[in-house]
This record gives sequence, structure tokens and C-alpha cells, in this order.
Amino acid sequence: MMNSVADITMSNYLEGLSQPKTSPVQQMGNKFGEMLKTSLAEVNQAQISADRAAEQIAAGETKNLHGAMIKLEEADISLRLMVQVRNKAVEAYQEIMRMQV
Amino acid sequence: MDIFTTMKISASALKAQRIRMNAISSNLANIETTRTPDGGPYRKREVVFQSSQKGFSDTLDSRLRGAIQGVEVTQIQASNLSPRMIYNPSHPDADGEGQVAMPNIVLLEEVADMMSASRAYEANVTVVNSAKRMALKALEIGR
Amino acid sequence: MANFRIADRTIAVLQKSLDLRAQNQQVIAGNIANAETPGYSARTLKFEDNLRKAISNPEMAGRKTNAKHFPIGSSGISTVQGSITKDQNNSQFGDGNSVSIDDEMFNLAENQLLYEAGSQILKKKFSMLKFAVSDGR
Repeated sequence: MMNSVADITMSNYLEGLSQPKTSPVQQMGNKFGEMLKTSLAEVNQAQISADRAAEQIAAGETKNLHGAMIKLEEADISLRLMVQVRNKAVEAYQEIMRMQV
Repeated sequence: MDIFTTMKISASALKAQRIRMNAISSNLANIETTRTPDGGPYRKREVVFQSSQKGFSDTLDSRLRGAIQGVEVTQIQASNLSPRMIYNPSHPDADGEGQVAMPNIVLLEEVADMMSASRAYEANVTVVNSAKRMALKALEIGR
Repeated sequence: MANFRIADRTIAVLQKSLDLRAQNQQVIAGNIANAETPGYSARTLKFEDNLRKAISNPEMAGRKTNAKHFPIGSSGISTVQGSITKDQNNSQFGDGNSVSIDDEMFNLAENQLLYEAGSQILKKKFSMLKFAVSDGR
């Protein structure tokens, strides 16, 4: 009997409509933050792996010269890319702050 | 997976060719020797080459092991061919019939052998140089 | 600022390897110069095992008593030294000289290549540090 009352008012559906959804801008913000975090972790990983390869070459554990040079180059490029991304983000922020409302 | 195995293989070949040159020069120096400490004329020295993986087998990938071979000289043996008998009664070592036992070394054979050893040596030096150039190029990645 | 040290273990390892390889170059040059000397025993400088051990077991790592202290864990590496051994196997050469010129040429080439590799890697690391310090501009 209580079920039929609930069906008539459809309050379940109304409740779902009134919950505040996270706005698209906020979602983008979270995704961008996570993307930055993961890319930071990746850049750090590339640096560590390049360091390991350099130590292996120095101690003679491996003689794979081109492998180590490639890992170093990957670490370098990923670092530069991340710094440029950060610079662009800071510029965009400053641009927005300059806007006169 | 490294350039140094290449250079080790060529170094083993250079060593083998040098030992071969030593044998050839010993043969040429003794081409008229009729007296040796073991008695009898000088016997031609011959080098025996054998493919081996000494010195770099532990650095090879498992796929290459068994396929990539260097070379080493396993022994320098004195030839068992009978000596040449030359008729020369005035020679101090002439036997009763005036025959002298001379070493069984043909000059032209030894010279041809020497040229071949020298060419092989040069070829291996070229391999070493080109391997070194390749490694230096690898260091230029990202320069 | 004169006492500023970049406490990066990889840079310490690379610097040490360059030191040792420069020493090794001298040892090999000595062998090649004495390739025809009667009674000369070829000398070898062994250092790669010592360096490997110092990398995997950092001894004497400094303790940080204050959170603001820089880590000084690389002191074990700066004490790594090579040991010189003499090769007494003179049997196959008539004059007692145990230098094999082809092996020494190989060692020379390998040592030079690894020295250049270490120097190139060091240069790359410093350029990355400089880039980070200069803020990417």
C-alpha cells in the first residue's frame, strides 16, 4: 500500500534531480589536477630510470650505451615538456587575473 | 647487446693473426736451417685456428650464444711432412750419399700466407674502428 | 656559496667513474709503452666491482638530525679505489713480457668509450639541472 503512494508522487526521481551535480568546470579542474600529478610521477620515474642507467654504465654493469643515452634523452625531454606546461599554465592564470571585470 | 663484444671478437682475431705471422716469420727465417736442437732439419710450423667464445661468452644474449664465435690458436704444431732432400755433397750436414735434408718450406707459399694474414689483420682492425665509431655515435644521442 | 654541493648520488658515481677511468688510461698506456720490454708484467686496474659494491651498499650515510639538512649519503662512493694487479703469466712469450698488444688495444678503446659515455651523461645531467634552475626561460 505504501508502494502505490510512493509511485504516484515520483519523489524518488525528483530527489535525483535536485542533487547538486559537480559542475563540468569543476570536473575538468579535477581531471587536470590528476593529469598533472600523474605526469609529475611519470617525469620523476623517467629521471630515476635515467639515473639508474647512468650508474650502470659508470660501474660497468651494462655496456648498452645507446639504451642509456635514450633513457637520458627521454628524461630530459619529459622534464622540459613538464616545465613548459607549467609555464603555460602560470601564464594562463596570470592572463585570467589581468582580466578586468 | 653491446658494442664491446664485437671489439673483443675482433681482438681475438687480431691476436690469432699475429700468432700466425709469428709462425710465418719463424718459417721464413729458418728456410735453410738443417740443424735443430731436436735433430734433423727445421720443421714448418703450422697454426691451428679454432672458433671459441673465450672472454665474452658471459656477455652474450642467450640467442646469440653458440652463434657468435671468436677465434683462438689452439696449437702451433710442427709439420709432419718429410723434408726435402737436396743433393749437395759439400754441405756440412750431407749424409753418406751427399743428400741434405732441407726444411719443407716453400717461400712463395709462406709469402702468400703472410699477405693473407696481413689482409685479415687489416680487416679486423677495420671492424674494431667501425665498432668504435658506432659507439661514439651512440654517445651523440641528444647532444 | 663555495661549499654548495649538489648531493646527487648519480653525479658522485659518475665523477668517481671518470676518476677511475682516467687512472686506468694511464695504466693501459704504461702497458702499451712497455709492450716490448723483457720481463715486464702487464698491470690491470680493477675498480668496477668496488664501484658496484659502493653503489648497492651505501656505507657511512650521513644522519639527518634536522629536517633542513641536505642528505649526504654519497660519502661511501668518494672513497672507492681501484686495485692494481700484475699478470704474471709470462710463459708464452720468450722474453718474459706478458703484454698482449691486442688485448691492451681493446682495453684502451673500451676505457676511452666508457669515459666519454660518463662525461656525456654528466654533461646531460648538468644541463637538466641548469634548465630546472633557470625556470625554463
